[in-house]
Amino acid sequence: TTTTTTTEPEACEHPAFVFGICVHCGRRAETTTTTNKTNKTDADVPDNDDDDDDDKKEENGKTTAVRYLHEGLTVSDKLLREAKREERKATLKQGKIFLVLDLDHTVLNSCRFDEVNDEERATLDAKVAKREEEDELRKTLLGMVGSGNGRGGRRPRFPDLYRLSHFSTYTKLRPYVFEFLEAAAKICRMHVYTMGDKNYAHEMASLIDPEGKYFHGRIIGNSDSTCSKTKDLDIVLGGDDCTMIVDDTSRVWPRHARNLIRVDRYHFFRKSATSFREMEKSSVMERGLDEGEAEEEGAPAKHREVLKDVLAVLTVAHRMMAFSDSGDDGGDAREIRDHKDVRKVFERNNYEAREGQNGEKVDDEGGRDPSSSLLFLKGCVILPSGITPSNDERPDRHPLLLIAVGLGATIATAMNDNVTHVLARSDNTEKVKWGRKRGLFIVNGNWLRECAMQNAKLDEHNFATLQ
Amino acid sequence: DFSPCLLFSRRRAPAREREEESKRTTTTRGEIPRRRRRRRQRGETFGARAFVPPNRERERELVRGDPRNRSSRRRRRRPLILLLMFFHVRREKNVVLEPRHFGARMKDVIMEKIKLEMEGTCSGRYGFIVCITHIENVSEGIITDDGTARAKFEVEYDCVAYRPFKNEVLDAVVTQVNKFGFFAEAGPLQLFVSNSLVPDDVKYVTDENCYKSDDGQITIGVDCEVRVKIVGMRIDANDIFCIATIKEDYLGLIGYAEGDAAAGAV
Repeated sequence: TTTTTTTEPEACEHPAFVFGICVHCGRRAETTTTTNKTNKTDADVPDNDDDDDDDKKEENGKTTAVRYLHEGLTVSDKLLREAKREERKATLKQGKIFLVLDLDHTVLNSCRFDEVNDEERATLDAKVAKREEEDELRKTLLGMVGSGNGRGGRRPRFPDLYRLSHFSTYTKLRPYVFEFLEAAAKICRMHVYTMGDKNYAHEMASLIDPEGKYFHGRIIGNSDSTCSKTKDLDIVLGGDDCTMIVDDTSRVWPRHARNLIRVDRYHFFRKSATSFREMEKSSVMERGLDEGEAEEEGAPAKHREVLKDVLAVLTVAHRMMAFSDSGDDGGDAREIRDHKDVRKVFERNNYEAREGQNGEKVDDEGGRDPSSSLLFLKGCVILPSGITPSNDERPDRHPLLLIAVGLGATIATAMNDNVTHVLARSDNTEKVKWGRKRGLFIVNGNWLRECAMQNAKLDEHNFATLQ
Repeated sequence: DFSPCLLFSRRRAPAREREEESKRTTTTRGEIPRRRRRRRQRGETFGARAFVPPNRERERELVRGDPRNRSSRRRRRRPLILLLMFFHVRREKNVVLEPRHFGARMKDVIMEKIKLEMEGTCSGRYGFIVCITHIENVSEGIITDDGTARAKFEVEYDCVAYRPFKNEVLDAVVTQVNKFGFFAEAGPLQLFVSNSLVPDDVKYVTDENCYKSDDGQITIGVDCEVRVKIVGMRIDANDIFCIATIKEDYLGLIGYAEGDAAAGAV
């Protein structure tokens, strides 16, 4: 084995820097390359070229600060690209895609102590005390760790409500979050990427992942991004074409809109709903019913459990990635090439349109389309009604519409003759009445969700109940 | 925790120590000039060139060539630094005491204050101050003229300082492992060993967050002990950070975390 006793500083290519010194030869960063910092101010939406520079990303020899791994660690572009490539290969080999999860309003909702008024505080404290009591009881009885998630018996009222004194916040987790994480961990390698600061991010991650097995320290806060107002996949060790993002705002992901699943915001606290200018009494605490809960037994849930929909989208994406079985060992390169782009799975609209235009089967995957048998909703034209709010920037990234497109259906934007299904939430909208008049299938969101999860086209009549 | 360090207290055997010192300062290159010898006696010089390892037998083992053969002795390149990161240093500090401490226990209070303020700190020049051993001399207090009737004392004290050197070999405990390398700690000193300075057959395994060798014999994870060699240092006014390697012979894993079977394979 050759051992290098001295690394020639001139020959060293400075793969990374820690606190300003090269990790290979020990030279300082300033003496290696000429400083090339530009003084651009933070733009709200950075332009789409590759060397986005900001005061946080150094231009000295083009390194990127990977602060979430360790403070002070900056990695050169070359090493970062290699690392991403390796991680992507390893993860795809395992049969998983990447998932980047936002925290606030996506899987939880936090509220500071000074933002709740006194009566709310009394209620919240009572609930937290009750939950902790029930947790203790459950822990002693069943030896289970974690908050109430309905597994051990009757689901306590408002489980997953936490009071963090050291952060002065109350936090409420979205329903179904633990089941979602458990199921998603089997098909995804997960990261947390939030606009909160690092301590907050780690604290919340330890709430939803108490054993630390889902994220393994892959937690990115706002100070770790290269640009301070937006999020980007450049510091995530993965690949752009196999990553799905779950977030409640599309504005913070300017360069990765095609990877995004935009979920509805989770407002538990009254202050959170008012700060986003939602309707009166639309927060969960005020209306009393959480997502997925029904007013009386046996009735359908008044508000959808959004995380279940997200899980269905991820299942569809994972299925479409056509992970081949580990049959051939020598086909390593071929396996990677064969993996599809997860973004294209949800853009089949364009695919269909192109096919229609040319009149022949246009295939941009090199002549093979093995997943065409999985597109069992082909031919369905779905008209959504009351699913996405009218002021939504990217209505096509709603989880239900993504499922529809991913399974081969087309989304109609207006009431016309091609429409075969009307996807609605409540009963008395204009589109629903129009659909009923024409004898179209009226379905609720559960139809799409169950089709996705069970991988078959189910009978629409079972899902015809609306509010 | 720390490796054993011989503290030559100046008050115990000054004559004998000076004799030993003078014997040690002769090198193959000639005598150290008197100015440097005085500073050596005070324990204030660092740097590779000023040092000769005290234990010449060990030096002979490690240096290439037969020591008896004169031509190979000439071929010695540079002396190796062995276990010389701890120093006994005399420093001075101004301490301001409030009038309520004036009295019989004034010296104790001064000692406490200095201990509180200086232990655990780091300066670029002396390194990490590990422990204050004793107060050598306290000057007379001068009442400050800012109207608060406090007194300022100039205190000379002896302390043990810990300062690393380039090319030094030391043992560290791994604190954090990630894809680009691992962070380790040797006492108060933080080190980083990059991926490129880890032997080629030892690779990072994502799922277990550790470095594993191809034959499975070496697993470097959090809380493992490793022997590293310092390659580069960054010395600020208040902080020292080092880059190290385990790519050379005799470096690498020497022990697992407590509680595991101690199988130190190198």
